[in-house]
Amino acid sequence: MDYAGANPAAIRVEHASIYYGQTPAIADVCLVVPEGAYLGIIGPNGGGKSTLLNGILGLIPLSTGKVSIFGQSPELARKAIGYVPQHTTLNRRFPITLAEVVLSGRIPAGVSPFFRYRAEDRDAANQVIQRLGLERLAKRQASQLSGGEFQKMLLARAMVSQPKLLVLDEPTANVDAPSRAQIFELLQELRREMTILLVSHDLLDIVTRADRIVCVNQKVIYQGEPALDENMMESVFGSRVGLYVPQQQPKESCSSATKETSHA
Amino acid sequence: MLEAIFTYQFMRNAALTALLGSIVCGIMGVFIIEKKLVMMSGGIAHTSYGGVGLGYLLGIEPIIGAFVFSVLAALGIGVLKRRDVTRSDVLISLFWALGMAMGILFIAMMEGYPPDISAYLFGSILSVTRLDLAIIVALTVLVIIAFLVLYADWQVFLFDEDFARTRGVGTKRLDTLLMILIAVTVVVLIRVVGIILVLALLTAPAATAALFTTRLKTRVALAIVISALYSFGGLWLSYRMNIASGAAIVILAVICYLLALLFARWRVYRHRER
Repeated sequence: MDYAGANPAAIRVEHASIYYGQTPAIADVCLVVPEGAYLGIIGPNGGGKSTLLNGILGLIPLSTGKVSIFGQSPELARKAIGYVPQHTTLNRRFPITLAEVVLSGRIPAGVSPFFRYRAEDRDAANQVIQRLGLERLAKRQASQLSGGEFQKMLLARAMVSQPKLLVLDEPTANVDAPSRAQIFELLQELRREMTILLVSHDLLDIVTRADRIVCVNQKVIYQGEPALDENMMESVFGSRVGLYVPQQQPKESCSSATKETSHA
Repeated sequence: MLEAIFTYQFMRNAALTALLGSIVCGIMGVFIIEKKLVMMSGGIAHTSYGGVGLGYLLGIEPIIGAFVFSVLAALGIGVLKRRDVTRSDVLISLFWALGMAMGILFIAMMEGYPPDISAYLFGSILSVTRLDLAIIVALTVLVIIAFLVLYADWQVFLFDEDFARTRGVGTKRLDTLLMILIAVTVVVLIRVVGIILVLALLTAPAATAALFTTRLKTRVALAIVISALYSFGGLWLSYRMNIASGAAIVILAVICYLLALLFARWRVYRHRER
């Protein structure tokens, strides 16, 4: 797929580094995600995938570099972002129903005294709940949902604000095979409506579904079409990783990624 | 005991303090447990001892000193934790010890006989003054308003703070407010059970309510009721057996929580057997 066409950048990361103490989690990352892309980020555990994602979302401050989303800072572009976090980062035992979680996707920015969700917020939540086939679970406690149901609930919460960019962090971790297939089927549907950025440890899920991938192991080792060879996999993961690869793509450098969008 | 409440002013003050303490415990206990801030609350409570000592030294109401120290400790721990200066357990333990040390130092600096500070360390609900009560009423109203007015924000913040941040919800402001509310709660409870025993009353009612409820508002309401039962039950035991009220309340709370936990486990086990 040619991203140097008319599509502007949904995400632009320029020379981003994030340090934990003296240790770089990611270093000098450059990345351009065109609008409408379905981008997968892969890499080894501890390679900085989630850190990069958090940096893009503005959840972790960058040590150096810059991130823009639809031409704005992540803070200003928040209305355009739908986020599905890793299930481990939230309070799974919290007393809240599925319907309440989905509705909370319409919470306004800032601190909102006396805020009550409006009828249109509830309608939007109900529509998403129906679209994802979660009606019968709407009143169930989040803590009583299975892994797959829980992820679908988080996806519904991200979708309810009708974002232009959907960011998912390991959405199929702790999920059974049928739910996993349903989630990817839904993402396939959603790619026509929004830009998708997906982080996963599962290579096959990403390589077979995304139209563009980024391999991260502290720095960007590869970005381009999802075609990798064994040597590339070894440089990403540090050991041989079995994966059928149709053809090898040339490695894109930081400067070429930036140049690509400047043509747009 | 009812007769005593109607007869004696100090018993009326004690009953009202127990009731207000229960409301604050019910609300903030749920927040503290859901946000895993139990040890931080302990740190804030113990830091307030420095304020009690300073209050005695300067000749002002010790509860006002405790309030100032609690709020400063809450804000200090909160800011340093957010800036990731060092591990939060290290920060909490240092504030904890520093507050106690300052309290001891301030008391030692007083001329003449040292005051009896056991009312602040172990609680003395029967010696609540009118000024104490006025402060407790004001702080309780503050907690209730903060809970009700920002309910939607609290719900998102307590369930998934990262998501709230990506939506632009003012999580830093909510976090700061939460820290201040914990400090306020500690001050209210100091007169009920004392600095050292405050953790039990902050956790036991909310943890008991969590065993039997699945909705936030219901959980808070039940935690308030349970907290009131513990407080009045302890007060009654204290009155009947002539023992320290703070200790009676805490021992009753812990025993009831353990029994409730056993009952909840037994219910789950019986459900599985079927």
